[in-house]
Amino acid sequence: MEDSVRLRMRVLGVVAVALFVALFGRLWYLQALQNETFEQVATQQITRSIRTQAERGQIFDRNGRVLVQNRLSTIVTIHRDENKQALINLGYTNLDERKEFRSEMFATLARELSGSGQLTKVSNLQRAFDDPSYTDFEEIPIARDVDEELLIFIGERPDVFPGVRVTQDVVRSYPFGQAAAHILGYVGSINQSELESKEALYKIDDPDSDDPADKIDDPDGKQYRSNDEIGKAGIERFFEDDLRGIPGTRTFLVDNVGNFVAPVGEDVPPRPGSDVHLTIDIDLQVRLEFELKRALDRARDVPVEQDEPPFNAPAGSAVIMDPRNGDILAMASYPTYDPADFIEGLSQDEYDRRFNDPFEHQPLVNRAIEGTYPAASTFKPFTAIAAENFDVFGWDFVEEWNVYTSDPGYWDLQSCKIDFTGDVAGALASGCRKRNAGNQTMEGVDLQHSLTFSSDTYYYKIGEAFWVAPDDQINPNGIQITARDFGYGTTSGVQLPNERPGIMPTAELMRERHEANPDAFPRGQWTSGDNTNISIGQGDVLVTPLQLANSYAVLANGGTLYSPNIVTLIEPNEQSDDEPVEFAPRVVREPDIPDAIEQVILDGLLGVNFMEKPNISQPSGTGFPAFNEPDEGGVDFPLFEWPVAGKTGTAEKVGKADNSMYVGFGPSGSAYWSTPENEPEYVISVVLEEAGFGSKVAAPMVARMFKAIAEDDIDRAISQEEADDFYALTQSLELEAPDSTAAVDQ
Amino acid sequence: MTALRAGRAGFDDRESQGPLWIRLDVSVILLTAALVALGLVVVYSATRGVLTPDDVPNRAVLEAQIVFVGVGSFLGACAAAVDYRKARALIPVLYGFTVVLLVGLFFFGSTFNNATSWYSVAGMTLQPSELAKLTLIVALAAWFSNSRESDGLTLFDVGVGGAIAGLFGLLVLMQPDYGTVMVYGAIVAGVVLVAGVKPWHVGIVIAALTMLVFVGFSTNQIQQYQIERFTAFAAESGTTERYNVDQAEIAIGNGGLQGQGLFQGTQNNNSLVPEKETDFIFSVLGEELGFVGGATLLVLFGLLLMRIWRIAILAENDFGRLIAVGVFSMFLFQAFQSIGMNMGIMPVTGIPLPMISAGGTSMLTSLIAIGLVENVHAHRLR
Repeated sequence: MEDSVRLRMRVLGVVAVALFVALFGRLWYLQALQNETFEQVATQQITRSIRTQAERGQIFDRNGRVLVQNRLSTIVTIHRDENKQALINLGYTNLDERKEFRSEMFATLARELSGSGQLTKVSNLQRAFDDPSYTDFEEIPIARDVDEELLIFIGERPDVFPGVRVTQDVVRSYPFGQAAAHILGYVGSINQSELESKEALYKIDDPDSDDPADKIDDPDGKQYRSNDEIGKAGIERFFEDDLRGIPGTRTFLVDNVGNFVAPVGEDVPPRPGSDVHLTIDIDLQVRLEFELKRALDRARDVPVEQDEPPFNAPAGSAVIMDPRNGDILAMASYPTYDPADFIEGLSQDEYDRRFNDPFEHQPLVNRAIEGTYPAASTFKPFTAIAAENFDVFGWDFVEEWNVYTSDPGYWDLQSCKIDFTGDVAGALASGCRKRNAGNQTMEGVDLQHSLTFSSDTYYYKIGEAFWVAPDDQINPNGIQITARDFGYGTTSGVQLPNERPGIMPTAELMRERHEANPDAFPRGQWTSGDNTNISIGQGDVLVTPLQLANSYAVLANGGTLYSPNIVTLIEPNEQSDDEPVEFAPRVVREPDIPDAIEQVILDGLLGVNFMEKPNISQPSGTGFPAFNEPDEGGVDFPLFEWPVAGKTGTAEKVGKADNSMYVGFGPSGSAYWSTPENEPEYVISVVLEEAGFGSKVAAPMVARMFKAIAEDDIDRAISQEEADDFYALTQSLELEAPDSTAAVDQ
Repeated sequence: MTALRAGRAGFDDRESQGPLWIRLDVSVILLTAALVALGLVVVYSATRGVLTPDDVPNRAVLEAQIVFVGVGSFLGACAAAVDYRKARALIPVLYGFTVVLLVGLFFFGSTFNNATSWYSVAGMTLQPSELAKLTLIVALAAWFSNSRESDGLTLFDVGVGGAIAGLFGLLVLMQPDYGTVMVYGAIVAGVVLVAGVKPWHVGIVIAALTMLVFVGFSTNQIQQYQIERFTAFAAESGTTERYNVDQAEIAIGNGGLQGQGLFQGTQNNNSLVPEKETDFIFSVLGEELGFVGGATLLVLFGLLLMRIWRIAILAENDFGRLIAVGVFSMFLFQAFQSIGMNMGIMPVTGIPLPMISAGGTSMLTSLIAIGLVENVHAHRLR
């Protein structure tokens, strides 16, 4: 063999050796150096962990009746990847063919669903299928609460409905329909911001540590995933962490297309969530909602004056509390909604139409804690208490509380007398004269009767005295300090989301707001006029109906402010090791109600309902018609057996009809009114928006509610059917309303 | 006797030393047997289709493969038995027959995976482009051993050699089957290297190939999927083109040093690697038998190639040497390409791993090729 051939053979050999060295090197790299990484990937590829959802806790009322429970719902789901793979196997290899197949499939499906009673549009199915919040490997619900017969129909036709399954899902169920909707709230799919806010909750992250054990994303597997159910409002939201259970996991082997092969290891069972027991009495709640709606309907139907159109009365809310412990027994807000509507989920359009349209008046808002209104005359008892506590009675132009005076129907501000000496017209023009509602004149007004007749003038004097008196004699913030003691200007701490604190304005607050935003708050200087306004709960005083009830509960129970409870007990599931959590009454403070005037205030508030019109020129108690004159829209109330003390309020709103308010408590009573003295068990507050005088609309509503309580005329243990019938009734009432309006127009 | 001996002396001076089987390189046969046995085991693992204890193992592919091993052994023995020097005259006939087979595909061929590369006969498939490798090896060996001069090849020699291979290449490209054409290329490269190609010949060949590829692109003869497959090894992990290679790499990496155990590979059992019994058979071996198994396979191939290389060195004449070099190049390239592709360092092309991958014609080709080198060895010069 020639040398050149030998050389060339060597070249060939060297090439071979080089290639084999490369193969060995790569093999070593993959199998020795990267083994762990690849092992992990390989394991992930053949196992799937799915979460088994934990059953959500139930919600009960104070008598143990179920308000929110869970039920099985037959749903239709589609799995995008399975659908695609199945279609490819059926020969639909290109995208357009598959799209066409699917639109035909959705058309068939929509027809079947609609045929079985679940009206379904093709576009809805397509939209659900395209929902970007689901991955291709999840079951996407496309129709809920379908007929179980579809299980067979779809199950037998995998070639017609590839990747489509009929399965069962657990959904919320509301035995009392939309009753207590604002309290209970509703659940829905978690959104991005909720997901982010919950992430930190289930994360272990010690910033000072480098140990991976101190940084675990989701140690208990409790983290939310997209499309998980989460409480969106009310109790469902506030007690989300209790109601939601801990999801379980099930791990199993899958084949290359993800089909189940065999389980791996032990299942981790889901732990059901805790039950929440409310202080609410559902019977009382249903009745309160009924009365609230009826009062608003009446305000819309009946013109107060013959030539006035009916009130808009679009909205309102009411609270019933137990003054002995701060329990909330009922809390109603109108307009309302049906939490069951959220089970299927609403499209953005539908959501906007139903909840964001101004004509709908924000049905999702719980006005009892989120609505803030001028306190109006209901505020007067606290101005009186402030006057006694800060020694205003008897100061200069303010009479002692037990001195009878006559009320000319107005009060000219003292500061004006200095500024506008002799110039009466100028003084009047610049708002120096503060008037009673309707310029009502009254005789024999002392503290007690100032409440009974609701004299504004009496409180204008007190209000101005607080401001014009030297600061070393009278604290100029006395009214606000007292009001805060009774829970105004701050959230009550009830266990519900979105509670608002209201506003208790001060000179300081006015200045701050003006300096921060001069356009929105043109005035920065507090004046006597402002002080007289807050003395009758106007001005910028804003309170929630819950604060109203809670402050009167202090008057009712003799001096204890509670943080209201709406929950009595968190009861963990039997399978849980967690301890039950009980909610005892929470005393915030014991505001000072001066002994000297405590009884006087009570007698005054009783007089609101008890005091007949003494003569032609004198008014009656502002609540008297509501509690005594059935012909005037009131009721025939057993006042002497079950005395009710209360206060009306008529809050002025610029450019709109007045808010109609009433807050009262019973059974009360006093020697002055020749009744037994009782320990009040109920406080009721009501605010009806744009519904006119408190005495005309709110007071009769509260009178009806108290009468139902006093005479034990509440339907107890209302059944599901009765609840349905009840709501059918309220629906028909709604339909009647426009008719009667038309009748009035003629 | 003397006359007889004298008459044969020009052919073989070792014939007197004993019958054919004694003159064979036994190590080549043992190595081949070891590779084939390993292949059968791995092919069975890749095709038994048992995922749960309830599944019944599928032996059909294994049994078919065993049949082909039997037939291939017989054909290999035949290829070894007839003196290759005497069969030289038949090469033009063989070449013509092979061309007919390849052309016939366009009329009678069956199509799988977008390529018309098979004849379906009685439920079995025959891939003429595989057998054409052998034709190409002996044809090139015959041509270059004839034309070879002491100062190396002329451009004309290389040109004719290129035409011999080019016709096959063209016919196979039209199926289209790029992988096999690459094997042809490797065979040509090996043979002309040893036959005495000059560097500037190589330059011209490269220029011609570049032009061919360019023409292929501009006339859309090269299709998108072919480019994607070919460039897969360079593509971003996680993309569709990378899927096969990713899964193969995961399988091999998952094997580790010891392997997951025979029949225990999760990548294999879950069919996560596509075409795992043919092109991606090494991933199954790597996963289940680990580095130990993979290295064993490489060592077996390496030793086999060493022996073939040695046979080429010892060959009695240029014809025999070039046959051995052709077989050497074929095995080297196929092994490197197939294993390299499985490990993500070579492009994805459908090339079987010789003696391991499932596939009848490939097995026949490999065993006949072994027979050929044994033939060369049996008539070696010493």
